[in-house]
Amino acid sequence: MVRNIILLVLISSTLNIWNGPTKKSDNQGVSEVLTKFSQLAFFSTKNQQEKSLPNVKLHLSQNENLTWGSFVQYTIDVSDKADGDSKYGEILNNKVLLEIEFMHLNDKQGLNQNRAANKKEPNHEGLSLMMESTCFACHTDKEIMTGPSFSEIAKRYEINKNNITLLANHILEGSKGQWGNIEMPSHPNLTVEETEKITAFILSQGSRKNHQMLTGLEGMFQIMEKPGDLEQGVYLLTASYTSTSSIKGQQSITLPIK
Amino acid sequence: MTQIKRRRFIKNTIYSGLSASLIPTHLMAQTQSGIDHLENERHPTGKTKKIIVAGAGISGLSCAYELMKKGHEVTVLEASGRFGGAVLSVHDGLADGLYADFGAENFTKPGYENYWKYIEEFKLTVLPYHHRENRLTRIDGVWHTDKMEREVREKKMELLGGFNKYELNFLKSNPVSNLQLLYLEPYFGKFTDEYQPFGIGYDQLENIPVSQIYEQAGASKAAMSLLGGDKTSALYSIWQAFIMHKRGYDNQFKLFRLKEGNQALTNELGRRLGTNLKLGCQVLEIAHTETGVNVKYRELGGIKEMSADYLACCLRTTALKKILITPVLPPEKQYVIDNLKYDQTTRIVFQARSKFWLKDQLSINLSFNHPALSHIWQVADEVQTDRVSLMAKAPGGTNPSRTLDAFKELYPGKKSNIDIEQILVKDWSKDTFVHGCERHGFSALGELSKFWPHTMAAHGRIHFGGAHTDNRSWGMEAATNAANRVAMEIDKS
Repeated sequence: MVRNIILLVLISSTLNIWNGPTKKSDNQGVSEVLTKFSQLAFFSTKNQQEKSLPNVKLHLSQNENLTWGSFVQYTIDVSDKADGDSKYGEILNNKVLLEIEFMHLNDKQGLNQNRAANKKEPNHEGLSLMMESTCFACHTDKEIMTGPSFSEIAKRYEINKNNITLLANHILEGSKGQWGNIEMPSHPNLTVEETEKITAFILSQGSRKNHQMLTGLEGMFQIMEKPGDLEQGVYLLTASYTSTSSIKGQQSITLPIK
Repeated sequence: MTQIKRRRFIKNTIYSGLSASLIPTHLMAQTQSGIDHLENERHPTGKTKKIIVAGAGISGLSCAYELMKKGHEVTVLEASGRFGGAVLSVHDGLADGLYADFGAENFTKPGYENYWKYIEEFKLTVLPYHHRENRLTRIDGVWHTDKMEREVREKKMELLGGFNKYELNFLKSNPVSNLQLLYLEPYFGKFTDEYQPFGIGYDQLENIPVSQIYEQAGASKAAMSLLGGDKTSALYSIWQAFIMHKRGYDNQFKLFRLKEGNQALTNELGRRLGTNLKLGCQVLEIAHTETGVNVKYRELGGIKEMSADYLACCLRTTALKKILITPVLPPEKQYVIDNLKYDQTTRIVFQARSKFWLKDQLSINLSFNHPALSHIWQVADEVQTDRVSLMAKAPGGTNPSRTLDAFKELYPGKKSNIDIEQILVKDWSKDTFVHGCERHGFSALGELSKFWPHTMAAHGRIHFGGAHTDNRSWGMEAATNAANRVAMEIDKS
C-alpha cells in the first residue's frame, strides 16, 4: 500500500536545491537516502555485475479445455541471480511482461512458423523506455485504464512522422483535454528521441489486433469471443523479464482454444 | 546508461523497502477514543449469516462493521498489509507531530451523513478545514484573488450580453454556482429514489446534451457559456444535480477533517473488527452459487479457501479485473469492470521551517495550474510548532522534485523566503492495491445506461460496495453510503 511513499531528504547544502538541481546533485540526493536505508536495499547491490539468464515461469489457472470468451488467470514467477526472486517481492512488477498472441491456425507447422516470425520482430526500444518510466501506471495496451489504451491511440492516430512528433511532444510536455479531463504529467526526463521511440511503439503495438501486452507478475485476460466460422485457434503466451543486467529471460506456452 | 539504470533500480528498491519499515509503527493515526463495547443489534430475520467482506478500504470496513453490529459472522479479507485503503494519514517523516492526509482529504456538512454517524459514535475530534478559502489562482500566468476571478467572470458575462431577467432574478437570492438549478430543478419532482435515474420519464435525455435543456428554456448566451454542457448528458446532469440538492449541497457547505488525520476513523473501524479483519489476504477467485460463495485467497504465500452465505465485494474494479469469478458475471457487470476509470493523483507534502508566506502577506491556499503542481495548502495547522506541512496535488506519475521546482518558480512572494526542508510523496497511480482515487463519472452522451445501475447491482450472493458503486463519487461519503447499502441488502436477504 505505501510502497510508493518516498522520503526525499533534501539537505540544501548537499543538493544545492535553490540553485536548481543538477544531474550531479540528483545523484548525491539518491546517495543520501541510500546511506540512510542501505539495510533495506541490500539486494540491489549484491552481485550487481553478475550476468545470468533470469528464470521465468508462467502459470495459468487453466491451460486445457479452454473455450472462446473464457477468462484465464496467470502468475509469473521470476528468479534472477542478481535481482532476486518474485516470491520474495524482489522483482519489480513493471519489469515483467506477458505477451498474448492469437493465431488463426491450428496446425503445428504453421504455429512454429508464426513463433519464428514472432522471434524475428524488432525489439522495441520504446517498450523498454516505457517500462523504465511511469507509463504503465495509467496506460495499457488494449485495456481501459485512466489514460487511453495503445489501441485507442492507434485508432485515432495513424503511424506517420507528423503524428509521432505530435504525440512525442504530448509525452514530453504533458497534455490535458485530448482524452477527457485527466492530465498526463510532463516527462522532461525523457529526450525527444526517446519519446518518439515510445510513440512509435505505442502506435505500432496498438494497431496489432491479435496481440496484447500486459505488465505485472499476475493478472487475468479474456480469450476472445469466437471469430466467425473459426472452430479452433491457438494463443501463444510469452512471459518475460529483463534483468537489471539487461538480459531477457522468457517462457512461452501455447494455448489451444476450442 | 548502465549507471542510469542502476540508479533507477536502486530508487525503486528504496521505495519498496520503505513500505516494510514504515507501516507497522508509524502510519497509524492517533485517535482520542477507545474501543466502546460493541453491542450487536439483532437483525430482522433473526438468522446469523456468514459473510466475507473483500477489501478493507473505508467501504469494506464500515460494511463489515455494520454487518457485525447486526449480529452476523463477518470476515474481512484485505490484500495489503494495512487497512484503510485510500484513507491514509502519515505522521512518519514529518517533524514535531505534523501529519498529512495523503488520500481522502476532507468531508462536508451538510452531506456525508453515514460518515458523520461514525464520527459521533467513535467520539472523534473534527476540525474545520479552510483550504479552499482566500485562494489565489494562477490564470494565464497572473495570480488572481477570488474577487479578481469573480470580476473577470463578470466582465466576460457582460461581453456576452449579460444574464437575462429571469436569471438575474434568480441570482438575487442564489449564488452563481447554483445557476444550473434554475433550469434543472423543474425536473427534480419525478425522482423517487436517488439511486434510480431511469424509468421516470427522462430516459431519452441520456442522449441529449444538457446545454440543449438550457437553450430550450431560454438561457442567455452568458448563462450558456458559464454552464457549458455541450458534451454532458442531460439525464446525468439532472440526476447529479438532484442528488446534490437532496443532500443540501446547494447551499454553502463547510469542509472538515479529523484531528490527527482522517485515518483516525478507519483505525477505529479496524480496531472494532479485531481479528475478523485479516490483512495480507489477497482474493484470487470467487465461486458463487444460489446458496453461497466460496473465496480462494492467498495468505503467506499459500492458497486458502473460505465459504460463506454472502460476499460483500468492496474491491475496486482494478482489483476485480484480476479475480476469476465463476460462473462469470453478466455482460453489463463485466462492462463496468472493464471500463470504469479512476482519477490518478500524486500527493506531495512539503515540510517547511516556518509559515514563510506570511512574510509576503500571502495566503498559502494557491492554485498553480501547472502540469507538475495544481494546488497547495497547509495541513495539520493545529499542531503547536513553528514548522508547517503543506499538501501539494499533482497528476499521477509526477516527479516530486519537479513539483518543488514548479513551486519555487511560480510562488507569488519572495522566493528567498521559502524554507522548505523536505518532501514526502504518495503517487496513487503506482499503488498496487489502491490504484487511483475517485472514479470518473458517466457524463458523456449515452454512457450512463452502460454503467448504471449495473455498477451497484448485486449479482446472486455477491453484493458490490466500494466508493465507486455509489451514485456520486465523493470519496468517503460514497464509500460509507455504499457500505451501508450493501450491509442493508445482505441483512435483509
